[in-house]
Amino acid sequence: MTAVEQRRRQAYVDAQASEARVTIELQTGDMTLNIGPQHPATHGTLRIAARLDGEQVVACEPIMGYMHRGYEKLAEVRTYPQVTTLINRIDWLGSFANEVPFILAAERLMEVEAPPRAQWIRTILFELSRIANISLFLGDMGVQVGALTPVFYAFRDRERVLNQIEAVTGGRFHPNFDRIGGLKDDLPKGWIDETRAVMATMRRFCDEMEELLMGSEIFEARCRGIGVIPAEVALSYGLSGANLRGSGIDWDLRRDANPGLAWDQIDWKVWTHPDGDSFARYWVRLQETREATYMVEKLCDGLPGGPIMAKVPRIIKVPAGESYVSTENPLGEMGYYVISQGDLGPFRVKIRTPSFNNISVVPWVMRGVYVPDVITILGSLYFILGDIDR
Amino acid sequence: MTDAPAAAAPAAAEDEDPAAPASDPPREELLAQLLDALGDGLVEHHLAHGRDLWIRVDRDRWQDAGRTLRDLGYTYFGFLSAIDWMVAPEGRYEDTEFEDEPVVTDIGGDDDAGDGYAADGEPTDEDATDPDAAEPDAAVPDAGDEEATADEDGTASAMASQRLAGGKTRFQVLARVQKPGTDMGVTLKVDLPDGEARIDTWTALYRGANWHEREAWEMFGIDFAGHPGLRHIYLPSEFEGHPLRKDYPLLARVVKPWPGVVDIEDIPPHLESQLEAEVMAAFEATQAAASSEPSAAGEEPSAGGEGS
Repeated sequence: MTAVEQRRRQAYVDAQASEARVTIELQTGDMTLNIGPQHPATHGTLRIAARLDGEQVVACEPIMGYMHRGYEKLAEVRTYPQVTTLINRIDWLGSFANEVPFILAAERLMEVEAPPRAQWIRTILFELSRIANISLFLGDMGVQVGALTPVFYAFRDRERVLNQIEAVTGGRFHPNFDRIGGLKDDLPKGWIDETRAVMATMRRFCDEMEELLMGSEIFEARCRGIGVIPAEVALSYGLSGANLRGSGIDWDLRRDANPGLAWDQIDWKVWTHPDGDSFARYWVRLQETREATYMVEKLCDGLPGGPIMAKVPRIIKVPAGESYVSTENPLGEMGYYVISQGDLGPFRVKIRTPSFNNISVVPWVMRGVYVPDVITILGSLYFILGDIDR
Repeated sequence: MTDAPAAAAPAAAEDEDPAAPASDPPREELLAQLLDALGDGLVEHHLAHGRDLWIRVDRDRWQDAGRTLRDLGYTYFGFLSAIDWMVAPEGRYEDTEFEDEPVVTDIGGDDDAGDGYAADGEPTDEDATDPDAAEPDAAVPDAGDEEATADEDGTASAMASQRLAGGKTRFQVLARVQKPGTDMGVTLKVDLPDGEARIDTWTALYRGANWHEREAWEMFGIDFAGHPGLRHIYLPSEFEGHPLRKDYPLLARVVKPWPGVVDIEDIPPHLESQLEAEVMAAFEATQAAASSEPSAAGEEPSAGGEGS
């Protein structure tokens, strides 16, 4: 072996060794990445602690409680009418819908039934809350994949729905309008015509979203086949709402377990999608929003006359008993297990919020996904922080 | 749909509510299936026709009950939580303002309650590590005694009989599962023996139970045997105590009185006569209007609508 050959070989060995060293250096241990507590994708202060192997998530754990307000404890020291003020702030984008199951649970214990007109107006406001809530999601999902325009459209058009809610209740976000036995007030004059116009606008908004995002190559690539949740896993975690229907389960509490509102008086359709991925969840919500606009119009058409309050005592005491009422809120099944002991306030209220269960699937669904997909999957599961933390 | 006032009737065991719809075949069938599968394990049940079904199972059969229901198609996990049936030593803070049921004074006068409350501050500290350690001593038997004594004046016994399916001991665990695609749901309950707040975990049956059990552990100090990681979920990891227990004082109310008891302010004296005159004038005006056109009552709402 000549000296040249020897040097060459040595150089080769050195190069190999240094490459190996580099590989070992690059083979870092798992890295922990904190997403949040302050991150636009978390809609508030949710922290996701993800352990990464390179770009892939090995394990992931949501850490919450940054906004825990202890409503179950606070409800125990308040009277029934005061509780609605609290529960308005659980899912703050669809506040009116939060009040309804609690009021229904209390009414069930009191054996009071709101008059038909009140039930219809409740249903209208419920669906308006759904539109106001989900329209923001429809735009926000664009932000998660890097499209900024949709969210501005969403804010622009959602404002019209909020105006309608404000015109009736006086509050954009926290109406506090539902009462045991009926509603605080009737609809203002001319409101129904305005609402019809707004519903047409919202349908245009849905079309826009469909055009902007659905056909988009980027959107499809980021959402199709990402974050697939099979139906049995979704059920086992207690996912509800569009997250469940996006996994192909045809179940809507409005149709299947209507606790007394006017949903069974009109024709409408429950939308499902078999795929269970981020795209399916988005698609179902989009269809639901459009369906809700038609529902509001039909409800406005059939709105019966009559009083809006049943006869209830001035100071409300709810007879002892237990009842659980849940409704299909914008985010999913929201239920209140109310235990009364005949006092002015509840003895205990268990608040079953949809987002808590919806987010509990995160450790399962995030395993093995890539970091950018964490954001889209979180976005597509759609949660409101107040709804997780209560 | 609120025509079935079932929940209001005293729920001893198998009461057939006379006012409720006569029968409820799907729920009766489910109950028969559950009785068949669980036998003695199903201690008590309450069926509200057309509405809901409560069952109370033996603590040792908790997992069996969950498995049975899951296999019957109740695959949707609703929630899992707990109830603390103890009467809060502080009362409800504002109840004293109203005429009846002097909850606060009644219990405040009771030695045991004060004792239990004071003693509880310490045990709950140790509690953070071992939820069971605190139970046997002060708080729990006291709560039981207290109710027993209160029974004599009737109110507490009436309250106890209103509890659906059990609630004889202080802590009760409840969970709800549903059959997807239907309105069929079951609320399961377990009475935990006083001094032993422990129950088997459901995490192997329903994945969603994991977080709910963590929450129940954190808020009530109930130990879930076999749970993969009972950690704090909402509260900081160094938090001590179990906030949703009734003997955990709500500090905001202890520090200063609740201003929301009476929300009607006194009218300032210099305005009183003026306001009275205005009210009377308005009243007379409506009287006059009503007598002139009797049928024009307020069907049409008056507000102008803030609009877009």
